[in-house]
Amino acid sequence: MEVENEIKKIFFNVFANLKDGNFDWNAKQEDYSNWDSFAHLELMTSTEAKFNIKISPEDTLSIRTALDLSKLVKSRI
Amino acid sequence: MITIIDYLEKHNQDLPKKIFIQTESQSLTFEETYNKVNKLGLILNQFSEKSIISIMFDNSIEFIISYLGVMKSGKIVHIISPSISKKNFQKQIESCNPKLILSLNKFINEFKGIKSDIRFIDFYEFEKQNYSSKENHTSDIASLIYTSGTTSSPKGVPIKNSNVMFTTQNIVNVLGYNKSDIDVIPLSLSHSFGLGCLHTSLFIGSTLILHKNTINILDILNSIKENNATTFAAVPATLTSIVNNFPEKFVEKCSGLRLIITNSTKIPKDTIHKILQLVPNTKFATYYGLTEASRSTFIIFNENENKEESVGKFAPGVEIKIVKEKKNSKTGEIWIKGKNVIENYWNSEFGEKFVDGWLKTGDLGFLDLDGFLYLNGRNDHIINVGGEKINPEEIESIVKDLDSIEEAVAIGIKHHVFGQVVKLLVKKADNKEIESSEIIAHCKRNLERFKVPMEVEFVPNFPRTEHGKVIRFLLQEKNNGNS
Repeated sequence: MEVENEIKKIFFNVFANLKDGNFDWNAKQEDYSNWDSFAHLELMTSTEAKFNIKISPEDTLSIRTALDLSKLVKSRI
Repeated sequence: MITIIDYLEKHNQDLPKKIFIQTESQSLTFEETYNKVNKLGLILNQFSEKSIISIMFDNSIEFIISYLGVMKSGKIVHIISPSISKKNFQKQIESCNPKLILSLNKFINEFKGIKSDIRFIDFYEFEKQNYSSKENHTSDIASLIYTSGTTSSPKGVPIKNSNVMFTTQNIVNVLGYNKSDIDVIPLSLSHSFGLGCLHTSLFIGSTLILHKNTINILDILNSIKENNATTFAAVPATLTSIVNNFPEKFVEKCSGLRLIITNSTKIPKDTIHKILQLVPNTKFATYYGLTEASRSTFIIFNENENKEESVGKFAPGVEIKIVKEKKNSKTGEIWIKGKNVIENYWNSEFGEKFVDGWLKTGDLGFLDLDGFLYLNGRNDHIINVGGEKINPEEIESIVKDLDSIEEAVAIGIKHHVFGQVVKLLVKKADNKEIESSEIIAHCKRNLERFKVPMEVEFVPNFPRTEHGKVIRFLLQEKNNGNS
């Protein structure tokens, strides 16, 4: 639950238009109007900093939803 | 007047069943594209000649149909990136006053509340409208794209059909495009680089494999292999990331390419060497240009040894001169003249940028004895984040809206992927406190994402001239390890 909350916070921080009402764990990159390369980089660096983990370039590319990121973090801590 | 749209008509006759555009989920032949573009053009004929129609899409079939449809109907297509900030959106709409904005509901929902008199319409709703039998003449101006200005107002760049034709022919001739090419592009079509690739495929009758963005690099590499692509266009940041992180995959997937083309944002020398080494049979090229003067130089690195730091020689029919402030200095401002250069900015603003048909680019550079051009920074303080040009004053004015901030200066600092990113130096107002996270959050709400500072540093004061002006270059040097 803790991981989920933190991932949600990271998403809310990166995407200023997100809130509880419109956040969807399964929404894909293409469902967002503003998930671009800069947003993706910010998601990864924020997650690395928050959980003190290193996300490899391959793992970075596998993240397409908030759920993917949450699963990745859980597998690392 | 022959325009790029005429080539769609030509390929509809010559190559009707050939795939023109392919995305991850859809593909269209030249015939299907022509029919859709024609239909949209007929609907748009309800508007008078020289009307402006804005389009706001990410990379998609809808973008291409709308872009070509507006041109087909003889109107001026104003391109808005969906990543635009609300403030800039408002400024652009006030500047060009479009008849309507064609978009998709997911983008419309974000922007529709900003100005009550804007007519937004969803692409698929618009397609259902009735045709107009009215015939319109082709407009001289094909498209309107706004770029960062040297003041806080964005500059509208009106691109004529003649500019498009001249530049496209140069791209085809210099880089050897032909109709059997299969071109993979993960570039935004809202920018000159991506649009130039679209024009090239349309002109020559090749197939364009369009990706939304560069987030999923491995998908793009797979797409190159699976589609037997022959050309690949990407910004330096993408290429650097690929050769540094996935060199084996790059060799496996890209060895069959005949050409990799990138643009003139500083390409790390190491990236050039790695590409030439990993795929030696693939030509690797770059160009220098601005939205206002697209593709002014070209270089194919394989054919020009020891010129890795150059952006090449002048494109055919393009003149470049270096205008130096001091006679003996090597570097000066780059001025460009040619049929690829716009005649003026929108609403004839920024007239001081033109002298006798020459465009004063603001870029600094020099020419070597062999006539190769080298870039050497800017004569203003524009920050270049992965090819996106940013006026620091725009960031500073947004940040100064916060009560706790007395003064802020935005500068570019080196970044391993994007070349530069924004760093913000902040002086707090007396007796006020503010966290950097609050500043970043404020920037995110009011600026495009690439303009949001990657770093914030609080400073007690700024270095100033005797007239009290902040000495930006000192800050720039200090923060880039040059002092």
